[in-house]
Amino acid sequence: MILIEGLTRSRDGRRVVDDVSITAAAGEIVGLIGLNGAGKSSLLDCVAGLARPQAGQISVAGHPPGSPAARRATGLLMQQPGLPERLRVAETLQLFAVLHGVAPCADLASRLGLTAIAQQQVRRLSAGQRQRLALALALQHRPVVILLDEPATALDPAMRRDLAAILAERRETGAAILMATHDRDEAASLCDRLVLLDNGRLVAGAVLADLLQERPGHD
Amino acid sequence: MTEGPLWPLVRANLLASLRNPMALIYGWLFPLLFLAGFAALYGDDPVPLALHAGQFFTITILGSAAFGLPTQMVSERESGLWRHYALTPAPRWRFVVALVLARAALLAGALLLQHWAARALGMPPLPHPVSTVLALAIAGLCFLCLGALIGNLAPNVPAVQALGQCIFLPMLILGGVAVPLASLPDWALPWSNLLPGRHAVVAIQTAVTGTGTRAAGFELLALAGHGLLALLAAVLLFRWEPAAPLRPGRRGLWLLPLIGLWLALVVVANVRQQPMPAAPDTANAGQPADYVRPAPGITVAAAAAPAAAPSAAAPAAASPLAAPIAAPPQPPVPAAATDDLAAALDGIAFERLPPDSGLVAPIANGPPDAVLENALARIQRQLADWPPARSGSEEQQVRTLLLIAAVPDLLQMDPLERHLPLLVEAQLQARFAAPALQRLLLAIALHPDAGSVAARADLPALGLPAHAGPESAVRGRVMLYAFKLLGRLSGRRVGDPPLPNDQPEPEPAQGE
Repeated sequence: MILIEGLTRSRDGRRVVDDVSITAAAGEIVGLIGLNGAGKSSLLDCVAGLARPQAGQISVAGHPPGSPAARRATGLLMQQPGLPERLRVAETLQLFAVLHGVAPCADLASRLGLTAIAQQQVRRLSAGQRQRLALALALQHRPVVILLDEPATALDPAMRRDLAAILAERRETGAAILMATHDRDEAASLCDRLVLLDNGRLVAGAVLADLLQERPGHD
Repeated sequence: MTEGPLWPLVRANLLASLRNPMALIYGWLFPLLFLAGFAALYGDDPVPLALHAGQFFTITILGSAAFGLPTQMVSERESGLWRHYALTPAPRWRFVVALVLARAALLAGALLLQHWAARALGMPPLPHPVSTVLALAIAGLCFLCLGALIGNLAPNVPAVQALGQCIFLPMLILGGVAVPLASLPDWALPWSNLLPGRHAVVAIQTAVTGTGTRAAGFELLALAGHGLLALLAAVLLFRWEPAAPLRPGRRGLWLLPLIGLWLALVVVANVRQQPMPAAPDTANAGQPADYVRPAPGITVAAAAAPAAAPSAAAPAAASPLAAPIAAPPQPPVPAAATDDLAAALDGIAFERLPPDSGLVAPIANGPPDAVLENALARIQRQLADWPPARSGSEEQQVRTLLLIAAVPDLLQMDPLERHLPLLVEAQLQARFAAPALQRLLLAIALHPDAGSVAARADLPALGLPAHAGPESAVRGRVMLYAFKLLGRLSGRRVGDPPLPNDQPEPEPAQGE
């Protein structure tokens, strides 16, 4: 579903992603772990079509990244998503649903706790509420490729559990999920497989159990 | 799957702007302040504000386009919203067009408010509302497309201010928006065609005080051309992220033909003889005594001392139009001995009347073009069912008919204003016998303050602007046309008198 082959992305003369190859199959959650600046967000940007790599191949559900078909198939949660600050939550969900050509998903909004704040303007939301809204925008068009950049940021424990449940359901329905995080606990609880990025390079690629075994000190 | 996201995007942009107090202050309140400035500067005009409508409407459009739209675009891009939009399958042009349309709706509100305020300050009703809306719509969309281009060129909000000023100030100064084109030196006029401000002023002014947009067809086409080229360039240079370099890649090759087409448009505009919006007509028509010489057939007390009496330095043919129109009225001229018409006509100094080819009380000396011919035919048809022309005494009816020439003259409705006196003349000749008509015209010319000029408010029924300024201005022009038509009908003045050798054509000293 997601195929990344020899991806290289440079910025300001520095290779932020260096010859990385990753795949994520349908029904699989792949965790991208690494420290800040490891290249996780840059890699996700390339897969989402927001950044153009200098080298390498990417296929998103069989389409080149950034193509209309790929964008229709992809849902990206950005680390700091830009939101229409003066629209209300319900209006924002409606707008992005229309832009994707679907109807807003009331069930998802309810599970993410957005129903109660539907009439609030986005600029008045807390950080956690903004994150929940951004998650809803990334998922409401039921993408088959889901890219998540630090999805649990600012979420309380209860909402983290709800998010995990939602992602598990999406995995069951055949979505391929690539999730960037620097929280290995979160990765361990959600992902089938982890990939470690360090200074833009792939350090390890193995099933979760293998990786955890290779990383002494992990609880 | 993606059909139909344009209008939701327009709605979202509109809601975002309507919920932003600063956007409303800049978008709606500032145009009213500009209007108040114009009203303060030109409050003494014979027709309040109407002769500056092209300017103040264009400034409103320009402010919204050069600053409002690109500021919103760039600030949303800096906030990451456009990057978020980039994840959706909707094509990029829809985001640009939606932003332009939403701003157009806001701009329409601003123009409507400005129009209402101008009406409250005395501007007459629009004689051609459809033409005016068309001119404003085309000018608005043109400038908003230019704003979208600024929004894509500018990397951040401060750059919008800099780029916006680069567009705004030249158009204000060289584009005829703030400084009238007639005031510019010849070398500057070709430069005014580089940007569409000039076309906007001419098109809007022609719609508000002229013959409608048909007479400004080229200006509307030029505006549409500028707008379309700017929109295409904006789409080509479009970027979702502020950090994205301004490199459109292969699409950038399309910029070359766009630049070529823009230069071609500029050249065509330069080659073409363009109409220029007329300067406001603020000249005083003078008093009857200014046009009457002491003679046995007519008793005029003030005739010996006209307002700008010809002196040794001034030729006999010099026009007495010199003082501003707000000058206090002179005492009424004593009644003429109209029972001796020939003697009375002998006493009129027709040579002192302003020239037919001038800007005050002009009369055409050639046939109208096709557009004017249509306009004149329409006015003539509507005139047949115009009640004011048939109410009151015969003298009142003639006075009312003369308003059809007088008001457009005050409004500088060139070239229509030059042909309307001939239409009035034909109408008068058809309705009144020659000797009676001459007596009526003489009475009106010598008594401009008599009778009523209330029908000046009913002129929109003829497709002409109403007059809402001080009565004295329009009474003065009625007097001038009464004198002029009297001269033509009596055969004592047909066309402009020949000028003495080396004598420059007399023109009013103020406002012409």
